Amino acid sequence: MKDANITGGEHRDIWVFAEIQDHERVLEGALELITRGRELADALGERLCALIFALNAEEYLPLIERHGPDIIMYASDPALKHYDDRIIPDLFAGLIAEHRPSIVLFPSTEAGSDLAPRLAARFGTGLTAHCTGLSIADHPEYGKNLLLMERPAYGGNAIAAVMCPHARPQMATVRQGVFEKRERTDVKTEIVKLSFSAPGSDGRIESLQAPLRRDRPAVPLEQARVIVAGGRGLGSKKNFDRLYELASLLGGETGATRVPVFNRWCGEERMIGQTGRTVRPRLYIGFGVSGQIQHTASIVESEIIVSINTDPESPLAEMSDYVVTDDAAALLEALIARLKTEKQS
Amino acid sequence: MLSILICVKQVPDTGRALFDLKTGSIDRASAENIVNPDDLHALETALSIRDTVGARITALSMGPPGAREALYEAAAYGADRCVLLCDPRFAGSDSLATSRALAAAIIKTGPFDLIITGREAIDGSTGHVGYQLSEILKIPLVTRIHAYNIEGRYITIERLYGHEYQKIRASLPLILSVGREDNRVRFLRLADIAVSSNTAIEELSMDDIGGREDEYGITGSPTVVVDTRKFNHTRSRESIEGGATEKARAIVQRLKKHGILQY
Ligand SMILES: Cc1cc2nc3c(=O)[nH]c(=O)nc-3n(C[C@H](O)[C@H](O)[C@H](O)COP(=O)(O)OP(=O)(O)OC[C@H]3O[C@@H](n4cnc5c(N)ncnc54)[C@H](O)[C@@H]3O)c2cc1C
Ligand SMILES: Nc1ncnc2c1ncn2[C@@H]1O[C@H](COP(=O)(O)O)[C@@H](O)[C@H]1O
Repeated sequence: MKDANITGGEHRDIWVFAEIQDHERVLEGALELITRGRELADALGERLCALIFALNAEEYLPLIERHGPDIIMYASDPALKHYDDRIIPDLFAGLIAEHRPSIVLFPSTEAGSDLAPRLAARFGTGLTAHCTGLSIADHPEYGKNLLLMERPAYGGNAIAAVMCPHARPQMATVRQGVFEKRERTDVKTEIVKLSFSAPGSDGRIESLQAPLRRDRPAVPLEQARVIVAGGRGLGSKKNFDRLYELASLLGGETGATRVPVFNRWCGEERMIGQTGRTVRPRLYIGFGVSGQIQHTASIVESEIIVSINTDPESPLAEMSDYVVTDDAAALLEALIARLKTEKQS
Repeated sequence: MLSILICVKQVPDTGRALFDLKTGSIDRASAENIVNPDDLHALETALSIRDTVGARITALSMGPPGAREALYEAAAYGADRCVLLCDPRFAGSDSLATSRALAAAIIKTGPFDLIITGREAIDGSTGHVGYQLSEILKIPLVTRIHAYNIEGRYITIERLYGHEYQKIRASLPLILSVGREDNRVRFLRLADIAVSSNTAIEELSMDDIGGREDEYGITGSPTVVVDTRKFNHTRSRESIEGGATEKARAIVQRLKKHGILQY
């Protein structure tokens, strides 16, 4: 088997896959990655480049530009409306081979999780999945200015720090919500339009009908200001369903541990944790959530954590600002009642 | 009859295992080994295809000799043929080196009409292997399958992508990656478990699948883990007392103090 690994010649610059979500908006996680990528590029004294492949890609240029890349490379074409694994990996691989970036970062979305391992296989390079930290570090054996990638390990009980010492580019996928996005006014951005013409289909996979849209939560959990989360301690779907009312009173969203998702009290898109989403709300309230590390690793950035549990010694209580020892369903009703009274007065 | 290969990985039950704070690693003795949960869903897909159109199912696992247990379990569910890819030179493989070894073993033991992997392994949680097999074997991959129907050399699939339903038609061979949302795993009968440990397991070494030593194991792995530390976090944990109504009032009052409630 042959690797297209690039040997000889220098690799430099940081690239970010600036994903367009639902062909209508720039993914928040992409802006977060551009923000972090900017800091890493400054630390290395290299350039930051954002790549956009979309239908009407020009629409997204101003927002991405405001987050401070040195370069935006984009291709705009109807064939790029949806992420397509027969098009984007080839296009992206061609650009990597031509420009030789040293670091390439992807959001851990469905598209990013498809694209990144494919590119890693093509270039015979390393990829670290679902990172929660990125920095530039030296290593006594492997040398200077390497990308240090941190990610949960051992089922979330530990954080592993990973490097890709020799192969290039160094690649990582990063969970949304891990970094904060920030605008930068001090960078002048060069915009490069790529020429692109859609390749013909090889006929191995064909579409039988136009894709149909499904419903989704109003605000992605990653961006919610307030999260009310339910766990096994809520006891039933009926009790769990009451979270939506509290969430709406607090202007927030409803989240869950893995247990309600497995019990089909709610959909997978509400799961918070290692196999779900990473959240950083101003307020997180856990109802009947024990606080296993696979869940809590993805809520630690919450400003305030409140735990409601019959067991005062639960691990979530350990990491809470406020601890309530009580029945979760009962306290949920009490809180809904209290907030309703306050809103009326 | 179709030929189907499923990839099964043996993993420590990370949900139950004890974690050694000093060494920063799982206390292997405390960790029970299980078949990676998603891989049972991959197996279920293979079994239900066999139930409808007929198929011969090969289970492939790469791992130490103990990974035989995972293959016995696959056999108990109904795998017809079991292959263990086992060689000390594979030890320490990251996802890329694993994908290379599995791909070489698939070429050696194939051809297959369908290759089915789990979506993600719970020990590494990378979810890379399916995509990387797709790249190395140059066979398309389909994920998040909602419904499917096999007609001769074609399979029509309804799948989810992001917030959309897609309906596609793909020609075989094809790789599928299957997760826990995609189906429900059937129950295992005790009688089948008893018989399965008599299943013959074919063993393949690195020499059997070919390739260079530096493609596999630690030397073939571009990534290295440079440090592992325990995850820790504590806060002030003020206890809120009183009856439910008083507690609710107290919480609301705290939230106002923090400026989270605005009205
Ligand atoms: C590889 C792997 C990945 C995982 N990924 C995730 C993930 O992404 N997200 C996730 O959430 N989990 C994940 N898990 C599962 C995780 O380990 C826990 O099992 C899960 O988070 C526990 O959910 P829980 O707190 O709802 O349930 P439990 O741990 O069962 O806790 C229920 C809590 O409710 C309390 N309780 C009981 N009755 C009441 C009552 N009447 N009122 C109030 N409290 C009550 C109990 O005291 C207990 O503390 C993962 C596990 C593994 C192995
Ligand atoms: N050592 C292995 N042996 C067999 N299958 C594997 C192995 N490692 C990974 N896989 C397959 O690849 C899937 C995804 O694994 P991963 O990319 O490691 O998360 C798993 O669910 C398995 O089906």
